[in-house]
Amino acid sequence: MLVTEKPTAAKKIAEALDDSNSPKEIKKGKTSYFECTRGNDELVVVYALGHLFELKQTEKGWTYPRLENKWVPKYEVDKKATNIKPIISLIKKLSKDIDRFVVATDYDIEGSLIGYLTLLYACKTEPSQAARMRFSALTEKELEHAFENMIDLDFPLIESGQVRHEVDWLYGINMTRALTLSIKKAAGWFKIVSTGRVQGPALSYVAQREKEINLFVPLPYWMIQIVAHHNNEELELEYFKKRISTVSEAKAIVETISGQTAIVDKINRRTVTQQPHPSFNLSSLQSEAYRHLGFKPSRTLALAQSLYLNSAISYPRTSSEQLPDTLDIKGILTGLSAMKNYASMAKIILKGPLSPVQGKKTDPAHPAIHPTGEKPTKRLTPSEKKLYDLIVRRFFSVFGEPLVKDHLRADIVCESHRLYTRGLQILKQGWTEYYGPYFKTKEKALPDIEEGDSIPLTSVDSEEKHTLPPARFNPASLLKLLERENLGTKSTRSRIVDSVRSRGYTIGDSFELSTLGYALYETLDQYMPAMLSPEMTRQLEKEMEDIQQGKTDRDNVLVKIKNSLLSILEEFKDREDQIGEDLVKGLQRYWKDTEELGPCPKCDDGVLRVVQSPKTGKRFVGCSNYKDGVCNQTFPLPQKGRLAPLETMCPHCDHRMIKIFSGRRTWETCINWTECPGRQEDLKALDKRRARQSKKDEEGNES
Amino acid sequence: MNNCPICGRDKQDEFCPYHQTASTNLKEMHEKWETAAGLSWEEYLDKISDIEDTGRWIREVIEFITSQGGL
Repeated sequence: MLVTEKPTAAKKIAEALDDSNSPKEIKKGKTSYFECTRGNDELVVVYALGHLFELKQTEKGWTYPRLENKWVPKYEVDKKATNIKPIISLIKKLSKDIDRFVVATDYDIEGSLIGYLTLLYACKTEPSQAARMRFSALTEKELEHAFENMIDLDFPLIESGQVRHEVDWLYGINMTRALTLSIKKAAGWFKIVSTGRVQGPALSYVAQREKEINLFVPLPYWMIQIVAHHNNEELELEYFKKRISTVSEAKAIVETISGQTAIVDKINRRTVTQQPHPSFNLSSLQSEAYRHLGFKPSRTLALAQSLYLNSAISYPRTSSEQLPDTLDIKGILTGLSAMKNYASMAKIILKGPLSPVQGKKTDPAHPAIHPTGEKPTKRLTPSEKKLYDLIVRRFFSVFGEPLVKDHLRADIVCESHRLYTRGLQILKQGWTEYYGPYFKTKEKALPDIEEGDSIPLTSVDSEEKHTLPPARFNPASLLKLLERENLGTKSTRSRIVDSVRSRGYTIGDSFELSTLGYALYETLDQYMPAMLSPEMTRQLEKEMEDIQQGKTDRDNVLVKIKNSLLSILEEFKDREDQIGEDLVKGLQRYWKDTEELGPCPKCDDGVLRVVQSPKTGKRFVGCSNYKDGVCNQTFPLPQKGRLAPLETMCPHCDHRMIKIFSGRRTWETCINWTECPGRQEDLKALDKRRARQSKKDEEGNES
Repeated sequence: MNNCPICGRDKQDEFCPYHQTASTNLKEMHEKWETAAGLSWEEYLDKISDIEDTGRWIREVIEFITSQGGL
């Protein structure tokens, strides 16, 4: 029996190992498995759906501390995971007549753990007797090779994976309950406020950056702008100092060189060669895909996973920037040369020496991300196509020659002041010919001037500028920081970055800290700084690496971690009242920011609030005096998208303005939008759009 | 009153820790603006309020000072 991680992988593996490449899929209710024949062996290929087993608390009560747990079928913890039950039952049933078990899940920490837990709890077999297939791409050749050269299970790796789950469970469950229960005790509300081992430090980075931005005072500087004329051509010249720190100095420079004639002193040429960037690992792929395609890291990972399951690329969860000597590069390029979009480039590369540029980072389990050269078996979605193109072109580029460019600079002298004009000329495209769409550089010809030429300055001015605050994080830069700080793993980081936003701790696409984010950050910072500290979680990562390398074991690490968590929780308990009060104050500020819309225009002392109807679940604006029967003022609200009150009032009707965030689209309107005289045209257009959409829907239903 | 007059958080000195730091920054940076552009305290506050990239807490402190007639 081969235990695989997903249905698609099971099918690929069964097809690759079956002698006739056409395994039989046996349907059993809502699930299935594959039967295939390989020589004298009969193979049964079953699949999981990611993790089939999860950790469950063994002591009773939704409280803390809770330190004991056990692995149980996922549907016992997650009531929605009903599809897991038939899969576990099927594997249990089929396992009775098996001679040998093989783990054929993804070759990484999570895949190894999925395989191990399935063997132990579903197959009910001794995992040490099982074998492991090791592969980095779901291609026939690689899978056959993995099957013929099976290895033992990597138990330190599995133990490390197990501990990672246990530690995340311990911190996540206990800290979230501690925070949530402190609010309940202080105000009687049940509002889940979550934090975790890596999420805490991630929140801390965002909060620190937000502080710097909020405390930023811009400083002035001046830039000298010079326009000259030469051979009837207008030239823009740079002053040698980019920033002049006082207005008086800037004025003096302008006065001195205005109306003067400058002389070209020297023309410098500097030839620079630039090697190709190394092959992608997951982090550099996520960063480049965000930059050029606008995909957030979690989306890139999902698309890359889909391309991998489609046999189009190698395993994406890798840290390596290297393509090993054993990789069949010629075979991959030959495969790509059969694809219309890549044929010409692949054929050129095949003619040259196939020695790729290698990066520094390595990964013992997988090579850098590369195309397999196989035609995807399933039609790619537009987003998958874009990511695939990026990966293929990066793969091509590592075989390219260096880019050669000339930096040109003319040094011009005026009185005792130095001025410049610059140019950039590309002498040889090299690897950028392949990576073209994702490489941007502007060629700029140096003006037609020679040493000794006189250049009259026709206009000299100074412009006041101001220093800028640090930029807010975006998903790619926060992910990069977590990687640099060694927090989380390549598989978990993008999820953590998403969670900071999805839990309401930040606003919008830029990671601007919300009032809820502040409330949590301030409370943790004051009472439990350890939960925000990268040091603690980095230390935990190190312990898990030590388990992987056999330097320590699971029991040792767990005892240490439980003791440290217990002392944090005891300290929390002692201060629970104060923590709860502070969180409640923060939450009240959060709700005021997100739900209060200023004074009621109808009654004197009511406050307008976003309210959700308990009957219909729809949201609307209502007056706080409604419950006392004093005021019945209401306004309808758009039902989709996140809503944020604005400080401004509508120029047409003087009602409060709001901003709606729906997907990538944002728009502003007033709370009186259905009656506002200035928005009637918008309403008509909205009605038309709705009518068109419902007509489309009706046509769709009919067809 | 123990609350920050700007945001309602617990105050330490005149303001909460955030607005206190913002107030200190604002005062310290005036010296640099004075040297660079020769601006008086009033001109400096006006100028800083007009610049888009001025931090939120700095802006809030300026608004508070102005509302208190503390120019």
